Amino acid sequence: MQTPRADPPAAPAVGILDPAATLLPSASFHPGTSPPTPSVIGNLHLPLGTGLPPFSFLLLADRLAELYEMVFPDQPEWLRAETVQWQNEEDVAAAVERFLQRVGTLFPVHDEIWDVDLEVVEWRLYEIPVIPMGIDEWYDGWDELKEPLPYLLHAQYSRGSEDSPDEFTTLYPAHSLPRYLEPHRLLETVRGMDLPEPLTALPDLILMLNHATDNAWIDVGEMALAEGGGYPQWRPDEVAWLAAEWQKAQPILERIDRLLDWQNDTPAAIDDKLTTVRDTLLAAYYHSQETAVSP
Amino acid sequence: MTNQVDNLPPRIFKYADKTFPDPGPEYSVEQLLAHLRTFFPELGHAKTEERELPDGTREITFSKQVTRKGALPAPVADPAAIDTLVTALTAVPEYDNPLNPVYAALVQEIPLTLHTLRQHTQLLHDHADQLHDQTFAVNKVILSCKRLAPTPLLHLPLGF
Repeated sequence: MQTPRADPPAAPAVGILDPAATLLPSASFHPGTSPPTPSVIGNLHLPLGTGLPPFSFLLLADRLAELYEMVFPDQPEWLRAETVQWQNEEDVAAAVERFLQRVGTLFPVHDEIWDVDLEVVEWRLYEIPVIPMGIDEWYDGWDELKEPLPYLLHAQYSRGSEDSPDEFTTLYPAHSLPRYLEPHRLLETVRGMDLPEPLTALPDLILMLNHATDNAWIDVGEMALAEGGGYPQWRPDEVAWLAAEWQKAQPILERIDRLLDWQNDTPAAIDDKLTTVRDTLLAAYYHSQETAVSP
Repeated sequence: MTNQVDNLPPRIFKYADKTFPDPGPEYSVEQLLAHLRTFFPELGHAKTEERELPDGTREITFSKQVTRKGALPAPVADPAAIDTLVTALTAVPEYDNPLNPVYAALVQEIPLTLHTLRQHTQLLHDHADQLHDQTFAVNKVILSCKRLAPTPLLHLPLGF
């Protein structure tokens, strides 16, 4: 191998007059001795030989520790047990997942990180990845929902006008309803009826469809939240509020689930369920009509 | 349509026994001479002679200026912007990693836990700010350098 001379002679050849050679950036001349470029400074300050993680990981670890203190002030042992020997992004994601699983005992959150990218992981430390339970009526496939959800959705959105075909009646010929029956206007009447379990959840289900339960966990759908981008921030008051609201939402959602799971095994059972729901709505409708005309 | 540059006669450049082709009409004779000085510093005060060959080509010959011993040096031009930059960069102190104090503190805490890290939060963030400022300053220098008009160098800067 030839040792480069300190004063290499100029090679008088074609190309020596190419000014571009002099004007080229010099960074690649000595790649081994180039100073770090700015994009590297923040991310890859690897403290070689110390066993410590890169600086960008340390900042995330500090944020994670801050969240532990905020959300779980009574569990300092979790902070002591969580070592920061992170050498790659998978290690960082695993630590954040452990935190989110613990948060999941307070309210529903996405605790799995599929895209192990530092920015994605970091986002979870600044916005709470909640899983709202509301209906996304414009995203969900209605046919995939359990009855009477599709029945009520079609009753609300598929009626058409007097001059256009009534899609609802076409879909549910055996369980038709008057064109102007609007389930959400019958809530009080349905509540006042002596309904058997699990039909008592019918008013809750109607409110849920109308995003009107006054509980964010039930009123907001996951797709709507993702599209709106209004994820809650990690703040003590926000965390406390979400936990309290989830406590209120749980019994309502359990009631609704019981109704959705009820008589759901066979087409005949589903038919019977729809008949019961229709009869309830009709009874409430006629009762409200009578009340409206009576002096 | 041809422009004025296209109509210029071809050129050929000579220095001593070497001949160099024309790099393009967009470069002036002075620019080419300046570029050649990078490789032939003795052309610092070169004489330029020009003649037209029978085929219409302009032959430009550079030759060393012979100076008399004891003669006054030629007037020195004002330092170019690049020289100023090189001087300034040479004066920059050796790079000092702003994170060294962070790691010096944390290495005492190995195995590091979230709990111990939390006790160094202020240190961590203070130095993160310094790092951010440094990165910002470096980016600013890079952007400023990128905006410099390309200028052939009189000399290769030391160390290149």
